[in-house]
Amino acid sequence: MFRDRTLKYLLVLPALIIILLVMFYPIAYAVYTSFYSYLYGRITNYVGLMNWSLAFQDSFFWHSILITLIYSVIAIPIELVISLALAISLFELENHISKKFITIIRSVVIVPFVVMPTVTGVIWRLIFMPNFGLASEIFEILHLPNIDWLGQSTNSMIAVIIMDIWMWVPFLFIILYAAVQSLPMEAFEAALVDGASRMQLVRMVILPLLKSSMLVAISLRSIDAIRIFDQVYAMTQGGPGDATMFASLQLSNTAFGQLNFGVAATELFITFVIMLLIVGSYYLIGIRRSANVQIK
Amino acid sequence: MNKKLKVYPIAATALLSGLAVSASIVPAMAASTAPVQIATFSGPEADALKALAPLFTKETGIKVVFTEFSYQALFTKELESVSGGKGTYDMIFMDDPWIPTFAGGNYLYPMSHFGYAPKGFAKGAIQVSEWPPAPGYNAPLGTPSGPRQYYSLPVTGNVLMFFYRKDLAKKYRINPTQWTWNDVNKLAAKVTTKKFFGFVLRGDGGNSSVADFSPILWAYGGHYFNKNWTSALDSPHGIAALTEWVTLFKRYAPLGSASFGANEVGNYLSKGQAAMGEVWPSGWTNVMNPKLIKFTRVPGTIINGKLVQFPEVGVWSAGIPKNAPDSTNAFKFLKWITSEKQQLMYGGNGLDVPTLTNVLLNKQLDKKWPYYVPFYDSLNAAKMRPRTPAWPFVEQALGTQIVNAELGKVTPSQAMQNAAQQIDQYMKEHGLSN
Repeated sequence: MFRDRTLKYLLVLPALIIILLVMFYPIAYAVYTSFYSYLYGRITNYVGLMNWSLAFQDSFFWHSILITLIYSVIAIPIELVISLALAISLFELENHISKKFITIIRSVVIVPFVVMPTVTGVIWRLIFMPNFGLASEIFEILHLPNIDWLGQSTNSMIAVIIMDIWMWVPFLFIILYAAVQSLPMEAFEAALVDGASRMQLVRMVILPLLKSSMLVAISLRSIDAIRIFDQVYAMTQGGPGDATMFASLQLSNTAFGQLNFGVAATELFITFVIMLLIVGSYYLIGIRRSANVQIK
Repeated sequence: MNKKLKVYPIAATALLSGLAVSASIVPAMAASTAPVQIATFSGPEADALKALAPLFTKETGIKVVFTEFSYQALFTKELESVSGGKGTYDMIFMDDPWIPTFAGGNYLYPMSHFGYAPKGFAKGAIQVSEWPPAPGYNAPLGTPSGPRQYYSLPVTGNVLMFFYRKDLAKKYRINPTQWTWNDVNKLAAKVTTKKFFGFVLRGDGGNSSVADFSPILWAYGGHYFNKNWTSALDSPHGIAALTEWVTLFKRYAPLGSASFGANEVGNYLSKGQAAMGEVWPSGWTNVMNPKLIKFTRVPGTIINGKLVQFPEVGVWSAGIPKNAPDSTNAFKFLKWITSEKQQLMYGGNGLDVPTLTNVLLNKQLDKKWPYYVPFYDSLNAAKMRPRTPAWPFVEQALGTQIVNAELGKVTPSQAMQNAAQQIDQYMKEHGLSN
């Protein structure tokens, strides 16, 4: 019996070692890197905590963290509201239109999520091109003043958020639509028997039941928002100036543009901790919520 | 015996013998046919090189493979390759501000290693390959004083030039032999309308804005660094140069210029929507209408009665890393591609600018593409960007401040002060200044 159990673990061990190596070696190497200074792309000497001190003084890095948070705080709630509205509307429509049509709508809504992020960035760069872009044309037709979308700091952030909404609503929609479909019908029937209006049904039945799914969706989306890179690189390259220089772009610039690998590794850890704090707070909210439900 | 079990030993033997045979054959094949691996930028310049490569293969039997990257990715990939044990690339293409990193970092073979002394290159082009840099240029702290060697050979010539509409210059009688920024302002003020723009610039910050800004900074008597590698940007000259830049941006440039790069500038000029601009000729000259657009040295300013005017070098050169798997064949290709015969072909399409004096001044080529002579003139008067591995940081710090000044977030004076402070801090932190 004992020998069987030992053998079982011994057989698993090689795979476990490989997985641990693959997962933790890069992290351990990044920790190691953060204690060394680099010049001409190679290690020069051990500098202790100096890179950490430099990272905390790096105004470019903290600016990039700030704008990443601003973008996340604006974009994610908008995306959540739109995707939730879409999911509930499509769920409502299920009883009124054919299944085939629902499938078509669902497929069309998902399309932006399938497009490669870099291609998305290029498409939206073309749309927001001053004087030639589609956005400019629409504004001209509507006799509205021409807006310099990618040439002004605030406008370029708005442009990135618009692109982001287009790109990420489908993802949140998929999660929430699946969640809405799996809601227990009894709750709906009880609410309808009690004479609940459509709005009350949404506010008092659907939304509370969807809270866990929304929490998962927001957590996943927040992780991705902090990692935003490809689409912004293709659309604005972080500009104008540093207006859309999100954390990932700045880190890549520090590491590969300035060859400052030590500081970049340190800043990577700081970003990682910020990410953990954000996602951790969602989980805490989730745990507290389930505890409350149990108490009730 | 089960039929399946009978088959397995046969299959295993066949597989093992197959592996053994291929293991002995593959290295032999690799030795005879391994192509020269070249890392290069993606763009028309690389296309022209790729077009010439089959000729080299025909002449020598050596295959050449190009791997193309975008500007930033190329720098990173090349650095990863040269700093590793065995390199991926036999030859790497480098923009001239990268030479301090690659040559200064001791990653490249000097040309003398191959018993070769570069000859016939335009003075302005070959200067980028020299390390430590030629007198007049400050070497990074700790750089051994000599001997000076050539670590690469210039392949694609480039120098920032002034493109302008000759019909408008003639019409408004602002058509000097040597342009000044004052002349630029005068002409721009006369021609700018809602749909036509006096001056178009790369206002998106970073590498492109700083490149376009350099000739203005130098013309106004400014410099990037002092002798001890502290920043010299926060000076009356630097502030005057940025004030000029902001004037051009606010008064005469199209909407959206803060997001403009080389493509937008080139398109505005080639489509006849702007009167003037600074352009890297390589890749753009042959799309401009020669009847309308003229190319000349970048404008200067008159200081103490003397014209101060410095074009900026932007030459792409190729070097051979010390960890190149096949440095001998790589050098053969490098020598071949920079020979007069190939450079004539390379420059024959009017898109890619050669680097040899004889080719740039070739009468037949000049007849076909009448801008190689002014290019040669500009190149030989041109200045290189400071020779420091911190240049990418300077581009980010100054580029961001240039955009902030364009958008009115800071005054030119504040912008220069901020940039100088950030650069000084960076240089000090990395032991690059005294």
